[in-house]
Amino acid sequence: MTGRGSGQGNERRVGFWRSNSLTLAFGAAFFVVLAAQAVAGRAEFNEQLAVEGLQQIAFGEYLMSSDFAVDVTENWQSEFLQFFLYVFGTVHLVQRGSPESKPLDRAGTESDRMQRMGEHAESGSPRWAGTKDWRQGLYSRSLGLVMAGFFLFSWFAQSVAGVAAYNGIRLRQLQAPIDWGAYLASADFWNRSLQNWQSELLAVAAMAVLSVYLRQRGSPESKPVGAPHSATGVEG
Amino acid sequence: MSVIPRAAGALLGTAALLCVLAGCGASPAREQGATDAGRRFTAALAAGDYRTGCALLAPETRSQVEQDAKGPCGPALRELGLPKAGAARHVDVYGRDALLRMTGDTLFLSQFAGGWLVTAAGCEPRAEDEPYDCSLEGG
Repeated sequence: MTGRGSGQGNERRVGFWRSNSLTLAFGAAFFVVLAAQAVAGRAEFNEQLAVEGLQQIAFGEYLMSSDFAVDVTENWQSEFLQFFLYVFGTVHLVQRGSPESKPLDRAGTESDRMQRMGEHAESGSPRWAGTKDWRQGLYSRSLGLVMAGFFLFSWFAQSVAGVAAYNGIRLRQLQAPIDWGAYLASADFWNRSLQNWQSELLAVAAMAVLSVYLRQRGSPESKPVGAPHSATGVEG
Repeated sequence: MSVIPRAAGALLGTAALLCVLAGCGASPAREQGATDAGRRFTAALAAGDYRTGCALLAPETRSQVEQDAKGPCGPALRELGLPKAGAARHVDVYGRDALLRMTGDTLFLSQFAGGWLVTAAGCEPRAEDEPYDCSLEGG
């Protein structure tokens, strides 16, 4: 890739930690919070076992349990669903005045020239962007497809861990276990899924509309502080 | 551009790992442990060894038996007259809990520090999704 313009020249001088601070900070925070969830989750699980007069479990065993796995994956799937829907939805859906939206007259997949695809690809464009076959089609949808893949995988993992955790509860209640197919139709599976989905959809709708009228100085998720409310697709 | 095939490989690998972690299938050792404990319990009762039978009861279950009978566990267990059980037919294990179907009886068990113990016995299925009706169970 050949650097052009003073912006790219300046970016080269920024060190690794600084230039990847967004990913590194959120990645590190993820592991800290996941560990905290494990501590709280085990304490709650052991409270239930104590009430039932059963053996409490060690931290390591809880980390390997279906109860922990289902609590983790039910949130993962909804987050990836949110980003998948956002990536795909914002191709066609717009919000007047929102920095999360494209200008109203650009709704849709846009031309190859605007997307720098095919014969309009530039020297620094990803290689598959410059092709004219299935590779271009796949690469031009890769962000949404990978998000959708992560969503489906996490949701599947939730269902697998969920049926094991749910059957553990059923056995403690002297009920027979159910199979995976029956679990997919169960209230437990859908309650876990839907309670996460509704919160993600609310957050997206709130972000789209609040960013029309409110500002966060310096954030690319916001318009510049002085940008008019009517300005659409302007990032600060 | 090999990002997508690599991501698919990583996904499959993580799926397999998660499946193991989440207990997609209980380990044969756990299934065997629960089955053996159930067999020892029913064999003890068949032999009239109620002391061993009581030792194989989960604490909450044993306490309930004594409380219901207002007396020690052994005689109370004998009075219950649990059905005679034969061969183990099928075991379901999820986490630390198990359902053991035997010829003549159905048992529920849970894993404790010292091994598997019986939480309920003399169990018969009721309507779908309802708990089993058990002659012997915890509070």
